Amino acid sequence: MERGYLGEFELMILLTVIHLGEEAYGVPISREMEKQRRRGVSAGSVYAALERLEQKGLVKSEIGEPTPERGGKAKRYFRVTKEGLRQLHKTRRVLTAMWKELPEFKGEPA
Amino acid sequence: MKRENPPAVARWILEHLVPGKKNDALAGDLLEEFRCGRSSLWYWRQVLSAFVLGFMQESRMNWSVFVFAFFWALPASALWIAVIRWQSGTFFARRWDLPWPYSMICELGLTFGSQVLYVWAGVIFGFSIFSAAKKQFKVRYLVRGIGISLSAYLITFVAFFVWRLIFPMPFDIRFVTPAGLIVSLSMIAFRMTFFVAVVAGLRSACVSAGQKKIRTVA
Repeated sequence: MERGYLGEFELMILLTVIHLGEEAYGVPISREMEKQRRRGVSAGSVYAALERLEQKGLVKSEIGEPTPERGGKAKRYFRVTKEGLRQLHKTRRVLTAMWKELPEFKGEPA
Repeated sequence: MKRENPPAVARWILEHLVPGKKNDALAGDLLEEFRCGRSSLWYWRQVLSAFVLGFMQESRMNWSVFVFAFFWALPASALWIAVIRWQSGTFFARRWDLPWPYSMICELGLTFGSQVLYVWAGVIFGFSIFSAAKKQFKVRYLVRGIGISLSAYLITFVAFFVWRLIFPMPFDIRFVTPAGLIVSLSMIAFRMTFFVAVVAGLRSACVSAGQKKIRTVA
């Protein structure tokens, strides 16, 4: 089934999940997103996006063992599915083609 | 000294009131971050953000529950006025002549009790409709929904009570006009208590009925 292209936030989350590998659960995903975006990220919005991605079949989640330092709550690990990886490659192809049209920036760097 | 646990009220809201199926992972994440040095303000912001996002997501996914709760909450204020008018000719009208705590028990029985019964009627009626459509009626899901609706109603009841202390009703409830009943802010706030309680109860019952099992890592 043909799907729409990924949004900016969803794209960043998928790339973060790939970057974190086996350690991709809520806390490191949010921290990595904050580091890359250089601004705060709400954990709720990260989960909302991950749930959307899971419904689309682009990520899968698994519940780990509960740990005392988390008040007995288990971690929920995410990983990107084959379909998710395919969507990422497709989005990269489209964006790369479009980036080529971007004119040079003449102003002072930020 | 850094606190070990986040604000209890915020934690309770997160674990019981934020809509969504898998709040445990989010609750654990926020606790882990808090214990790593995040502030109480940060925790509250995360909880409120999760609540708003969860509410929006749930309203998209369970729009039928929200529509049902909206229409169930609409006549709530009219019913409340009907109860107040009805009680004037009964034993309840003389409840404040009774010694404490009987006077308070009668007052709570009349106001809180009748309103809770209306919320429960909504949850039972709504769940019967939705489960009949899905052909999966289970009493334990309904009991769970009724319990959650009571918790949600207790909270919204207190919130509405505080609202009325800050913004007293600008009219005598017994003589309110139909227009006042519809547009008055107090009445809208009053209906919200029913809306929230019925949504919470129905959503809990319906989500329990249709919940998917998540695989656990061995």
